[in-house]
Amino acid sequence: MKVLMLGWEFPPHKSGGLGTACEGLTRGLAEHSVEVLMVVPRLVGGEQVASGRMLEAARALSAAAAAQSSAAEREIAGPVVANTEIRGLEIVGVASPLRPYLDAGTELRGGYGPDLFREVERYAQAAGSIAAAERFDVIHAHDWMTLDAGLRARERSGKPLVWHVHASEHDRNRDAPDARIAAIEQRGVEQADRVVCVSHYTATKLREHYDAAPERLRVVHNATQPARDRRVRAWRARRPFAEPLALFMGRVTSQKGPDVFLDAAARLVRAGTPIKFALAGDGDLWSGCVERAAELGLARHMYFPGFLQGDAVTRMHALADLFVMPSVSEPFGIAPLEAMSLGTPVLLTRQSGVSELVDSVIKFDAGDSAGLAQAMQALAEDPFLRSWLGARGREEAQRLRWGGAGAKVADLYRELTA
Amino acid sequence: MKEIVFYFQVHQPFRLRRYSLFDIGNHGRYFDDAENARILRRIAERCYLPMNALIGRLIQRHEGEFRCAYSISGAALEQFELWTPEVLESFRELAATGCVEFLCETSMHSLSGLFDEQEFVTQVEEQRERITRLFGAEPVTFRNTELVIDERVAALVEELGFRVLLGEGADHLLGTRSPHPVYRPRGTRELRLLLRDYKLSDDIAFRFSNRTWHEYPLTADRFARWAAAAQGPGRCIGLFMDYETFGEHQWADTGIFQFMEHLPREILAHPQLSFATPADFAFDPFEGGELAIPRPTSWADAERDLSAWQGNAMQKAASEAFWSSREKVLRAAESDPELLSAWRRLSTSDHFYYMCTKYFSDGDVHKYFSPYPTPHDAFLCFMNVLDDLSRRAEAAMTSSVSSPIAPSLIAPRKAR
Repeated sequence: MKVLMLGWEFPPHKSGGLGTACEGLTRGLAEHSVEVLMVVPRLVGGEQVASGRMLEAARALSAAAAAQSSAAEREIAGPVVANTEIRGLEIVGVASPLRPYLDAGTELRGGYGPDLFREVERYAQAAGSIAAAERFDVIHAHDWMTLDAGLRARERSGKPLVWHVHASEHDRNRDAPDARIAAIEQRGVEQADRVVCVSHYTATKLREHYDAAPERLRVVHNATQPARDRRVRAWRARRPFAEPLALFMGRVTSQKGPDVFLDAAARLVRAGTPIKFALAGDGDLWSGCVERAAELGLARHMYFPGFLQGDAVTRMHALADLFVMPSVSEPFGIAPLEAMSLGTPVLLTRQSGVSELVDSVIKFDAGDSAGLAQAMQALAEDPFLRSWLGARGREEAQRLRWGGAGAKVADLYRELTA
Repeated sequence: MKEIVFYFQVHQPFRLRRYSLFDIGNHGRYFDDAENARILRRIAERCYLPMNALIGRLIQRHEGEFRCAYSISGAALEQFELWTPEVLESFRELAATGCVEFLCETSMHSLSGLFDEQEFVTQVEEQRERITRLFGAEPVTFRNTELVIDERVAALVEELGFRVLLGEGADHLLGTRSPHPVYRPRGTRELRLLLRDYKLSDDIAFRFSNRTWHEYPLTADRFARWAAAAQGPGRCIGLFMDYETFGEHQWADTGIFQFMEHLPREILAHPQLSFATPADFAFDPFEGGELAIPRPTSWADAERDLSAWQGNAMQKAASEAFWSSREKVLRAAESDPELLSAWRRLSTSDHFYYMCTKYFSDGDVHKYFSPYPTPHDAFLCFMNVLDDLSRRAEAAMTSSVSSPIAPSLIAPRKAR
């Protein structure tokens, strides 16, 4: 079984959970004898699957793609990289000047930048050429950015298309969804052979907003990887804080609820609870949050380490004693699983996909900063409660491996190609 | 008769390195030595060295008729010693001519005068000692950081033994009165307040190279005619500006050095004009009478108030956190004196200026001077450093609990 996988970001160059989930899924599929040809907009360098090396092994593929492409398309055939550790995974880069995620730049917000849509179209052209040059059994596209690429690849190859929804436009921009993106998502729901949702929460949204047919929807929850304990222990040993540190890590946008985190933090500081906070991430609300923190008297209690990636993410997790995900609407929410697998107690909102999957966490309702403050206070004041919840969460997260998700997706491929 | 009183401000902050959350608890290297050295060398080459050479030539050429004053912050003097000792040497040569007055200020160019009287006194004494040692004369004149004055600062300055104080000739202080007479700040007895003529000062400091200015290009003879045309009471035309105006803010190719080269001759061509330094007014009568300064006034931005350093929540929070840490750091300094010197470097007003979010008329000026991409980054970096410093201070205190602490240090008198 070989899948042509169409992704938009891949670690370490990612801005959200999408890249992490794509990488995890490719690992999970490898465990179930599925070969993956991973196409990403471009390779920035450093894309490593697991701890393996990257090799430019399949140049023949890009040459074939270039040969079959029109002159205009030729420039987009990038280097092809195969991973040596995970058997069967190849990554194809497509030259693309744009940063990979919708919210990564300001192009779309406010400006409604034409660039992202142009990029999406270029990517679709590239996928068409690759589909013509490559042999595979099934196509798997991730989120709206690669849907048209998936449809194009299906047209060229006649293979079935699985469309994987990690987040819908109605999660990202609840108040003002982009009509063009919503139209693409509508098309995906109608035209893909199967739609994989990262949670029942997301499946429900697709039914509500796009009238998706339930029999074509499949829920495959995301998973997590085992933590690299040695480095985490080393970083933890050097942590300078006597007080517990509560961490928010995610894009600083209204969807993620940073205002609730700030408000809850202010309640704890007013109550004199010895605790520090870190709000990690970048986004359109970032500078407003920094100012708000100063207004709320949090200047000496809250850190803003900014956007983190690679090792810095793990290092940040290692410093944290509590992990908070106050998202208003979260299709899945992979970061809490990462925290759990490191033994960090997690607090998250019920309005998230991950909340339907885990029990050893504290759940609260989106917007309920008083409830969050109360729970954080209990954990901040009780180290035994923290270690108990952390240990339970860790056990639970260890059962949520990508192999399980890979099995479900592999079964789906077999069902479609039978 | 009018006197042209040039006072040049020389200051360089100890800029911070990008100190992140991950640095806290790991190291106390707060300052970006490489960047500070680079900037100091650049400005020495573009401004301090050529301008000092020019001022030296002007003093010689006009045989003592040309005089001027400098205030060099302790932060700048320390960095000259570290990175560009030749600059310090050239200032000492100017001092030896006897035509240059060196003023006193707070050693670390801080706003301690507003926040902590005791720290203010300490920094002023430290600077007075340093100026006296380096330039051979005890300062008579005081100028506070960014020309921030109010009646309390004025009273303190008089109490500390200074005879002359510099201030901004702000409209909200003067109303229709002229900035040229000597005033006595309300609440003082013998303190002469000389005010900046912001119109003529900014013609040089800000507008000189502005091609859209209707007076562009400004020539020395025209500027001298404007000064000679000054009417009304008072004899002090205060031209107070950053020294970096010459060669750094206004590059050499704007003609700013040629302008300065010719200006003394053009000024002295008018029989009613001459040059003086602030100390020359130390025994003048109070021609302007008493001046009320009910709220702090500065030379910054259009507002001429404290909003450049205290205008937003980040600046207020950072100030509050910083000034409330003094007591702890003083106690810790008994076992770790480095902590106090780092803390003093943090008191420099520039760190708070970088956090300014005023993005209208003066935003460009703030941006020009800031090493940070945004005011928020400036705030966060400062707070991270302060966090680490506070942790170190606490650690040092617990390791020396038995050591006696002077009572005066336990309860510093808070200014406000």
